[in-house]
Amino acid sequence: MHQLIALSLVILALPMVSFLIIIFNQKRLNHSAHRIGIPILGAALALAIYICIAKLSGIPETLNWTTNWISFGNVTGIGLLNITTGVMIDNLTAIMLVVVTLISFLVHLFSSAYMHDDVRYARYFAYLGIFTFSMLGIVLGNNLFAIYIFWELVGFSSYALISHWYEKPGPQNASKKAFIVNRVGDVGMWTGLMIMFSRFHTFDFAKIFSAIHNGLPANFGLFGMTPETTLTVAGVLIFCGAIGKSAQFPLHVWLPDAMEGPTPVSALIHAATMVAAGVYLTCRIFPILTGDAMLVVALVGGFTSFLAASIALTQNDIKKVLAYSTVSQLGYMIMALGVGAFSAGFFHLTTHAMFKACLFLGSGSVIHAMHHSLHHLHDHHTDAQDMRNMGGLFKKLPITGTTFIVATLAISGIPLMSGFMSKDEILAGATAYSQLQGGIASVLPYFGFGVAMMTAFYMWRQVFMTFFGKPRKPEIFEHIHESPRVMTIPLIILATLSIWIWYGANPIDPANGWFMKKWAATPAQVVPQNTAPKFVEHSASEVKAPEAEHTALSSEHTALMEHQEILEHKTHEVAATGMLISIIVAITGIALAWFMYLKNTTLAGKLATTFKPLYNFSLNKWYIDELYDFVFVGSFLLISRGCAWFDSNIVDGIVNGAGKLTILLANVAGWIDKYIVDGLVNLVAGVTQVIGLAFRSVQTGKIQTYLGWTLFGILVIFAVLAWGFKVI
Amino acid sequence: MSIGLSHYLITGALLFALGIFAMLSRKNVIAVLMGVELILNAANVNFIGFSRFGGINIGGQMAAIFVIVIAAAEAAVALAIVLNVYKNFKSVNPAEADTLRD
Amino acid sequence: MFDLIFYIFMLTTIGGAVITAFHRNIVYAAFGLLFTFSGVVGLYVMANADFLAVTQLLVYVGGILILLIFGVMLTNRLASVNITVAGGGSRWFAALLSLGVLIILCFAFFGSESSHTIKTPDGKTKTISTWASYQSEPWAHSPWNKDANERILSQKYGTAAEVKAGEGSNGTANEIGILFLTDYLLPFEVVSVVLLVALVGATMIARQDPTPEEDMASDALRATN
Repeated sequence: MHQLIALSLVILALPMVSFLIIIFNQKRLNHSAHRIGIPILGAALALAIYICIAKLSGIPETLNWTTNWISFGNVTGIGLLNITTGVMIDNLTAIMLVVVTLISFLVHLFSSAYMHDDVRYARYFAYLGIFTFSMLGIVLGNNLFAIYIFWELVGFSSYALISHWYEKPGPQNASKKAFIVNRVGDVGMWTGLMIMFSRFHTFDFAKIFSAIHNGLPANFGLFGMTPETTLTVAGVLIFCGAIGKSAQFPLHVWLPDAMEGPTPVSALIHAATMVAAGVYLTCRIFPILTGDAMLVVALVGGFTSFLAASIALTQNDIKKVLAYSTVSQLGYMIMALGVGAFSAGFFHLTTHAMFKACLFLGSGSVIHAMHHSLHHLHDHHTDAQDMRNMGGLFKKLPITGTTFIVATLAISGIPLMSGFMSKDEILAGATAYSQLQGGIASVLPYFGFGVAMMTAFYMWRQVFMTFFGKPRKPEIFEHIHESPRVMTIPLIILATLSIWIWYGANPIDPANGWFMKKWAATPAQVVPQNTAPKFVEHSASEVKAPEAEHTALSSEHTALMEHQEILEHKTHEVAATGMLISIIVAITGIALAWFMYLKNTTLAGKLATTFKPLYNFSLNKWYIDELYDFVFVGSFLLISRGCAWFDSNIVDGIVNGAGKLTILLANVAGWIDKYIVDGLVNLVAGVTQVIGLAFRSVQTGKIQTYLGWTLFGILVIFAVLAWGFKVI
Repeated sequence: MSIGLSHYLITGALLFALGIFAMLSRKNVIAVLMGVELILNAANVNFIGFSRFGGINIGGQMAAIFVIVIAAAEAAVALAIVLNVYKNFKSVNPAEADTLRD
Repeated sequence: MFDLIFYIFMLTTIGGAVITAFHRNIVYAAFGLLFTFSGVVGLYVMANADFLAVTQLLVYVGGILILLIFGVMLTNRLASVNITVAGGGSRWFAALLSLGVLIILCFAFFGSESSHTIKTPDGKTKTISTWASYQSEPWAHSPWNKDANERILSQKYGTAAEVKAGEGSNGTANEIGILFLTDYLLPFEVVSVVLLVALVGATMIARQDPTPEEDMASDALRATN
């Protein structure tokens, strides 16, 4: 076992240890639970940073450690069947380890102040531990099955954390919704897993990849589909898991509701753990996605990003805006993976984790301050999360405000920020892909740039509404105070990590920065040549000379790599234009927000009344919840009512009929019992009583007398047996 | 006459009779228990006799071992009962514990 | 010599039993029992039942007798009187009955025919002594006993007859141990459960019922915990 593997297992175990310690000592620890959680997560973070540095600087190859997990022995028709599990550390894993432990550590830190007065303080920290543990399991797993197990654990722990305040109906329903909606995606994922397992008898990534690379077996097809189509279907099915976890359309509905949980938990869910899991899974299965599957992925991602951004435009709840922005950004990542811009997608996952965690914790800090102020005023009705109650808070919350603005700059794609780099690469990739692919994929850049503008708009709308302008509720404003240092330090760290320098030297050339160039290189796809994206053939002529020569050599491997190289080349071509457009749209969005929410504050209201239908459509989240309610819940209720009617009238009718018949028979039997059977029994009892009365005087109660007479009886029997018969 | 089965049987019979006598006549529950032990031993002596001379070989010893085990269990339970009787009747005379009559 | 030793043991056994049955002092009776048990141990040894003898010594002399003496001490105020046991009115009745039992037993052993006739498998009739016929009794071939002797003995030493010829040289503990885990496994397990139940039951019965005050005290204790 490689040293780093062993260390990674230690990292995996640490949050679990924290969970176990806290959950079994809840009463004893109570409000000092963070003293267990924070040091343990700090240790995990230190180890993760060590692994990350060691892996990225010194070890180019993927570390893989496999152990036998379940051994089925010789299975008929398959041969020796072993299910293995293990740990794989490649660059993705190394980076994700740091991201997960860092965000988790900062959330622990932040929570120790934010949740300070909570009654279930210890339980909260315990579940933070198991949440981190599950996510680390997903990150480290080297096979689909292990990932699936931790996948469900993530689902469970998010359920437990979202419903942290389970006294209220909101968190209850939100947690149930999150759990059930995720199940829908997981069914797809499990089906995909089983397709893979039934064909390759392994869950191991490396083995599946090499098996597919060696050519699909002839029996790979399912239900009469060709092997290639089956591979597409399997890829899309596994991606369904990511749709659920990463809140992609149509399963995005749970994520905004998950805002009912404590704000630090939202930060954890949105930045590092839960939603990142979906993107991470898509990264993992990237090599086996066929061209068609990738198109599906790209379209799902693109549409989701557009949908969520349009909803975020009109939300008033500070956390709801962030929630929809998360959905939108996740759509970006998924779209990037779908168009083949693998490193851009993963890059955005990392940068987004930093600035989104910063935004969420920042909003937590604002809410914290608002709560304290409201508490001071004894006001329990005003919504502490509604931006319409805020305004001008920058003066009171300088640190929170500054970090929030830094993160907002990053998310809206302003140069010198990490978000600019990653988003720009995604947009370039999407543009290149749409040009090469044509057809329905041409909408992707429109989605991309449109979303970029909307993102800039709604994020700055939020900043302006929260931190600038005149205080809308002066009395609340009066009592706002900056949060304590344990809350602001995580904000400062995360804001610092939102600056470009960590990811590449040149802020306007991310493709050549070390993150994309060295750390997150696109893995080779293993799918058969004929299932690779369509543009391989017809765009080969467009490719410039060096690539053309390269493809002319056309060994099998280079052929497989071909479309990726074409894409990369095209991406380089469009990068400059894309960057220009993205800067322009971002600045336009900011300017619009500034104009509508600071300069001319009445304009927003006017626009809302002018475009009332559109406004309501966005405000009500495209009525998707209502649609689901009507279609799924409604139809289910209809079927249930039908069943209930059948049950109460027909089934119960039969049962009641049988019951009445039984009563009738029972009455007859009862009469017989009472007068005939009981009569006999009473007769016997009566006779016994008479005899008993006669023999009563023999009963002295002395045990020895009884014994004596018993013996006497035995002797008599013996005597009779020995002599009696002879005498007779 | 060399030692044979009959010797063991006679010993057993005598023990048994003495045990019966003790059980029936003693005015102390503990002594009654001693009688029971005598009877159990009588049975064991017979078993061993048969085991040695009666042709059932080791089977008789097995039976005797089970008898011993049961005797041990019986002694423990019986003594507990005696203590309880003593507590309730303030006496160990079995003739005074005659509530069975009621 | 063998006979003499046997008679000594027999005398010890019977003498002890007589003391147990007749002595007025309960402590003397207990000591009589000690002699009886020791004598029985001797009888066992004379019958080649060495393991059983040791068991008898351990369980009866070391366990049951001590238990009985404890019982005596717990139920009699030794310092005061009432340690003797006066003869009861039912003594004659008891003597009569035990004599009857003795007669019946002796009759069962010796009174009937000293030999009888059995049918051999090949259809002939054969007269054998009563004692020998024990082997042909049904209970000699009960499920627990069936073939056990032959099998165990032939495995270790040869046929049963050979064993008889050379017996005394080997202990019985080996065979008994094997039998416990083979033919007698079920009774063995059952009897262990019986012992356990007796143990728990005895503890339950002999336990001091808490008086009301103690009850309250223990309740209070529970409340503080």
